[in-house]
Amino acid sequence: MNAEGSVFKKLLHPEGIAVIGASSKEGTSGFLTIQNLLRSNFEGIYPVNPKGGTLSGLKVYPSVQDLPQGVETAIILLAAQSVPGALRQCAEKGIKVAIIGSGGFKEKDDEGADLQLELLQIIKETGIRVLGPNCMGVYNACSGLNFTLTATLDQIREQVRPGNISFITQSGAFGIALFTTGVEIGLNFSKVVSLGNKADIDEVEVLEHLGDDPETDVIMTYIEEMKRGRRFYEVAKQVSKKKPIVAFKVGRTPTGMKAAASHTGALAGSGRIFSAACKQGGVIEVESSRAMLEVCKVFAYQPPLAGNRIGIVTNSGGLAVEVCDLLDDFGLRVPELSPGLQESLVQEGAVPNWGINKNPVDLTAANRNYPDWYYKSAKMLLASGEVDGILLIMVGVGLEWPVERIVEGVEELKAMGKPILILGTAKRKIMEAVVPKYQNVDIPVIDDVRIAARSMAALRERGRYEGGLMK
Amino acid sequence: MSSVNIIIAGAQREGNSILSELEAKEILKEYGIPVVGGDLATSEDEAVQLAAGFGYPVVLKVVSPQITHKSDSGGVKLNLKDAGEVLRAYREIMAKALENCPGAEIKGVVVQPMARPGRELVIGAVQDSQFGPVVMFGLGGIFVEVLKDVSFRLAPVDHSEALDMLREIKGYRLLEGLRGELPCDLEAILNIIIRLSNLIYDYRDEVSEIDINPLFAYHDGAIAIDARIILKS
Repeated sequence: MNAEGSVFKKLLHPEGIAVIGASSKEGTSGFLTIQNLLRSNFEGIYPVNPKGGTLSGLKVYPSVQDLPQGVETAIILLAAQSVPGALRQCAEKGIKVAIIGSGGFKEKDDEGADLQLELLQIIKETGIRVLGPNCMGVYNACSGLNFTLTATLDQIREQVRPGNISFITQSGAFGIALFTTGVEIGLNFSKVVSLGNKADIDEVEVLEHLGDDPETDVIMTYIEEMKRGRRFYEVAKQVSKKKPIVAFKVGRTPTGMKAAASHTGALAGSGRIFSAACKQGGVIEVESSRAMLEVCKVFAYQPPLAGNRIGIVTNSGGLAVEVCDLLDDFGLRVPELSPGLQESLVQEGAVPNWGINKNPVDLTAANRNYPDWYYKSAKMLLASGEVDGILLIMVGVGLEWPVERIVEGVEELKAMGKPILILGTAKRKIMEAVVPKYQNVDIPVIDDVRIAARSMAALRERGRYEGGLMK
Repeated sequence: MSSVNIIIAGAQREGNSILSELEAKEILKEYGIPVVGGDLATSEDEAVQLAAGFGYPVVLKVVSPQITHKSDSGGVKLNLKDAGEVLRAYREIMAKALENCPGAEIKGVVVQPMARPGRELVIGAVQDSQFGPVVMFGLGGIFVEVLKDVSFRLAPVDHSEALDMLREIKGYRLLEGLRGELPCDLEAILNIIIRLSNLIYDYRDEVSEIDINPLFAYHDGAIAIDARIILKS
């Protein structure tokens, strides 16, 4: 394994972790980190605290020097001014990677920026690698190892299902909040890496690693500022050939270069250039953090769209019209079905006599036959060759009643190899009951009309990109 | 050493960060970008002589390292149809330059043939601090100034990336020709975008900004009317 690979091995699959600044004081990060590690059933925990003694049954080492040989990963949770000293001790002890959770560096003030420079100097001199400072740590949902320094993640431990989406976040607390929301709406994560101030390891390096990670099929990135834009583009261009990358960037300065002497310079805002890099690098850039989550969910469950023709089955005419407008904005089409298919839909009992059999297919008012109608029309549209993917708009009982029927016959729907999305809304209780059932069989449910359309567009963007790669 | 290197080295030696229009066009030409030719006249007689050589109508533009926005300071005269108009224009430009930019070093005027009207475009390039060399495309006039209807890509770009840049702008249909107009020569435009992206990439250590503004696009071909190149300081 190359040197870079081994950094991530020590970050994501460590054998032992020293927790420098471990604490018995409830609510502190030094306490929470130990609890998170214990609950991960992780066995190589080495708390470090000058007081020594024991902590939750673990032996506490009074100093870094006292640690046994062979510990290669550390989390540093000390006050900022004590971090450089601790980092140097770690390097001397043979620790290869340190996660610095402490804040109070460049993000704070000039004094903090000086401390961060001191860290850089130690990194340069000793070769130790650093994640952070000011980061929330790392979570490996596949192995269950949680070494974040917050209680938030632990609160939804029961709901987390290991999956194939990995998340690179520059924001700490909001990153964890997005992870939590993601889990609640059905995203199954593989790795979560919080970058913090990026003194050393940045999104580019993590992206490169995740590109090669067999447990990652979709990469989600939340970016605040970028230091190595050109390199990000180069790496993204390679990684996106293998798996989709979805990016959301905040702080898209609309104004151009300061003191530009040309028109071009005055127009070259950072957001615009980032968007250009995404387009050329095959990165799907989204417009909101919620869209980032939903688009990743859709990528994790569904194949890309091989063409731009969308079939719609709905029990709400109004919502269907709204979706059609939005799909059109994204360059997707909702073609009228052929006369033959229109006739078959009615004859084979997929659409009632009083329904609309064109596209959108409108099943109209609530009926106990919804399960059959939704299932049959979905299947017939997918099989027809007249559309490249389908959107099921399911409102109220339209979402509730067909769930068993769709789950039962899902393999036949999936066999067509075309994406299926649900735009669904119902009472919160109904949603909580049925959405996981759909998503357990890989059919994503999105409750926001714009984001549903955006997700379809993302599937098409990816399909077009993959099509281009094959040429 | 290529003529591009010679021009850049010369400007650096003299401490000029903004190349003259003629120098900028010389560099574009070296990269195969068509430009409206021109020559420097240092006297009114020379201006008349050059104009006769190019054939009327002609354009006169002030040349001064200190005057960067030539038209704002009355330094550009268009569509001059005979020797008398050229003489008058020369004198007016000199007077305006003295009045608006006292102390500016006036090297003379550029005399160039008046290009036939075409679809006005802007093609530019800059070094972005994070993403390095990038290239920009847009429609000229209000489209770029007010609507900021432009597209960017990281340089260098290939043919399909350049085509994406054209299609991305809202005004793309104007290039295809509206209501019976002939379409613009898209291949000629793409060619210029690609070549400019190569230029900004090759000279990423020396050049900080380039504007071709305007570029006129025709049914057959496209040509840089004015150009500006700014070096890194």
